[in-house]
Amino acid sequence: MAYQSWSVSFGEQPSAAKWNIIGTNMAGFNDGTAIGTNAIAAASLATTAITLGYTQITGTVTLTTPTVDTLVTGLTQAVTIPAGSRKIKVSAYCSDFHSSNVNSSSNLTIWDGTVGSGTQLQSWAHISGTVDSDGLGAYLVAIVTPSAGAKTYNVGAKASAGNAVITAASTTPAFILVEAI
Amino acid sequence: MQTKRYQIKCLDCGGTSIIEIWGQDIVHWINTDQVISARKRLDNQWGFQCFCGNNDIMTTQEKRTIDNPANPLPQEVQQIIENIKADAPKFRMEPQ
Repeated sequence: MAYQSWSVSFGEQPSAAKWNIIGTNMAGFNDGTAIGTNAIAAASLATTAITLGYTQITGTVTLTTPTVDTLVTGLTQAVTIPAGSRKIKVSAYCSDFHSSNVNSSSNLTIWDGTVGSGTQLQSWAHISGTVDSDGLGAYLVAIVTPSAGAKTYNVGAKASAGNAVITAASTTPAFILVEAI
Repeated sequence: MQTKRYQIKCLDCGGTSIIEIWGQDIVHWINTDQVISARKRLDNQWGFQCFCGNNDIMTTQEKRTIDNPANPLPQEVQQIIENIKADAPKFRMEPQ
């Protein structure tokens, strides 16, 4: 129930009905109905209210001929999924992802659990050119609704030929980000 | 102790409640259908509060003079009672 303004003056003799407004307000704070629109300021949110985990790498990772999905070293994030069935957004970014060979396909993937044996949540594909193997920036997002509890999300990569190159530097970190949205 | 029963009627919404006044200033709530609070004000009249929002628990003079309505300063009270200013009533007390 919406919040009702409440106060008493000296000498006032409130009835039980007036006292019970306090209880109604408290019940409203418990279920959120008494919290005003736009009332929760950013500073009042816990740091883990939205961002459940973030991990970045600042050095390029090269996976040697990963013909099957293989963990990108360092891009793993363990989180605790909160109760309440909110959607979870898992994002992965790399400024330049490619196979080291020309004419080769490569995939960057997001996984719930172990790369290759867990559950793949998203995939981003790149095919290198016929002359050079320059890559593209990759940004992939998966939206899921997992049960509350512990989870580990991972970024994987594979290439049909050659090495899989996940470029990262201090000025262009590659990262995995897990958010409750 | 003298006891008198009244029906308190809100002049805004027409809602009522029944109270007994024991002695000079003790309120005993018989029911609280609509009027939910009462107070013997410094002008020696009764003020009330209704669920609809109608409220004369404090006079205009009290609200203007008293900084903390829950705990007024003695000098604030003195200032009021030395020069009482009445408001038009917002409720009607009807003896039962």
